[in-house]
Amino acid sequence: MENIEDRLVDYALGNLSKEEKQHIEKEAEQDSSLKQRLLDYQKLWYEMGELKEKTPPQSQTVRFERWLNDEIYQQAKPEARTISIPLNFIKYAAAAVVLLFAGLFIGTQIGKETTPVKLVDNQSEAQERFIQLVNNQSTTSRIKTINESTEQETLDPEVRDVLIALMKEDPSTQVRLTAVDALSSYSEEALIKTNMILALKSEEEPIVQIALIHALVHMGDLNAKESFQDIIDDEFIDESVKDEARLGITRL
Amino acid sequence: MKYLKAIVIVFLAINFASAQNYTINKSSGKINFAEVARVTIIGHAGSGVEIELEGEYAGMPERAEGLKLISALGLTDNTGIGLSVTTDGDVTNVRAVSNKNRHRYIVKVPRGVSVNYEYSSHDGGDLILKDLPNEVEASLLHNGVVIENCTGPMAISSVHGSIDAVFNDIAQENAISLYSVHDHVDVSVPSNAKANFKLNTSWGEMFTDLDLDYGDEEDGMKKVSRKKVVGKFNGGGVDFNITSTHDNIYLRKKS
Repeated sequence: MENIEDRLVDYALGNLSKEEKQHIEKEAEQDSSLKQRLLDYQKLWYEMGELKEKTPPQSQTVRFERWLNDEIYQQAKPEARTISIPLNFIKYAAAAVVLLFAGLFIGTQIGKETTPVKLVDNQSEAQERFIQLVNNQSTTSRIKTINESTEQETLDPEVRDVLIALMKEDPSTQVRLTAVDALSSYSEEALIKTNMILALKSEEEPIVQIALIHALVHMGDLNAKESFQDIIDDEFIDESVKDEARLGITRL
Repeated sequence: MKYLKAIVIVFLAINFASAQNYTINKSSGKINFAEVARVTIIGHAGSGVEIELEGEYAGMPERAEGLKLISALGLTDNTGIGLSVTTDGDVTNVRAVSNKNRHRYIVKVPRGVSVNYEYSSHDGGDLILKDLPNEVEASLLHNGVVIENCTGPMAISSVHGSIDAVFNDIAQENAISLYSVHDHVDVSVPSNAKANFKLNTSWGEMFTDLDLDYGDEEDGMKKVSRKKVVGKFNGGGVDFNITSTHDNIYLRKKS
């Protein structure tokens, strides 16, 4: 059987089939350590994708090194002894290098103003159609497509991924707002909560920041408290957003 | 009395003559308004975008005669009414250069031009949208929006302002989304309008006189959340999202 770390990397890169993705998610729901590693890979993938320059900024390098050290430390802990340290170190380093270059490439190729959604290669027909619809130039037709996607009882993982990309990347404030609202209906999904916290870190529009805070409070995600505190401490963020963050901390 | 009438006529004539305007030759594409205060946008049958200032532009003092008004962003007033207008492909950007203007801009837009409006300062008055079949997107921080006789599609949001909308017709292909965080959203639609309404409030109340069909009944029970209501009106049609996070939603039949 293929090593779990390889599959986690493939998951983060979007190289798994729908069934394989669901299998990983199911495993992650039952294993908190696995779940955390999966989220770490996704977070790294997202942050790499955010890079706009060919050389990573100092803060990114520090964060990467901290992450790498944390991973080495995690692997050195007793419960991780079943996996050999040198092999995983090499794999993590190799995965990180691949992600770094992929992130740099995508960061320079994909501009926020020109491409609303990041695409992956292995799209199903339904996802392809959905992506075509959300890539429509008209803001209100993208909103309509998001509304239609949430009429289903269960959220297709591929549609979910596109909604997450819209929430983070779409150039229209109104579309990002609608995507937050759509995703907030699926409060049981840890992946959505994590991505909402990431979106909150990068979002600059007060109304979307407020919507994200409300959604995270509604979902009862205690991990959001730290992000709320960051907002309160940030002198450049609008006071109305800070008020919501203060309220959010008391409600969580 | 005769003298009073004459004075009023002369005053009105002076006021009319002092109205200044600027025309952009544009009948398709998109027009973005960024940080322009006191704006009324009206749909018209003409072929260009006409911007008229209600009253005399007071942005240029006598001492500035022969000089150009510039802003900290490097923008230049190239309209004579305190605005910078630039065009890049089929997108035209309109930005305020002067912060001294206290009059309202009346903007007449042809049918084929979609409109985007963004405003984040404290002053500036409500954004007024009238007689528009065009796609409109607006994001405001402090001010409200008044919508009269527009059909959509539109996506309007304000953090602190209210949204008051009266629709005579909403028949079109795309969505309508009205979103306020701290103030009310009050919407009137004609009794024959066909729509899929999604109403959403966290701390407000929802009021309506429309007979909404909530559908999806399970064992005779309706699925209605306290904070979210999804309902079809007249069998469903246009996607119509209304959100007021902290205040009330009023959805009524247009009288």
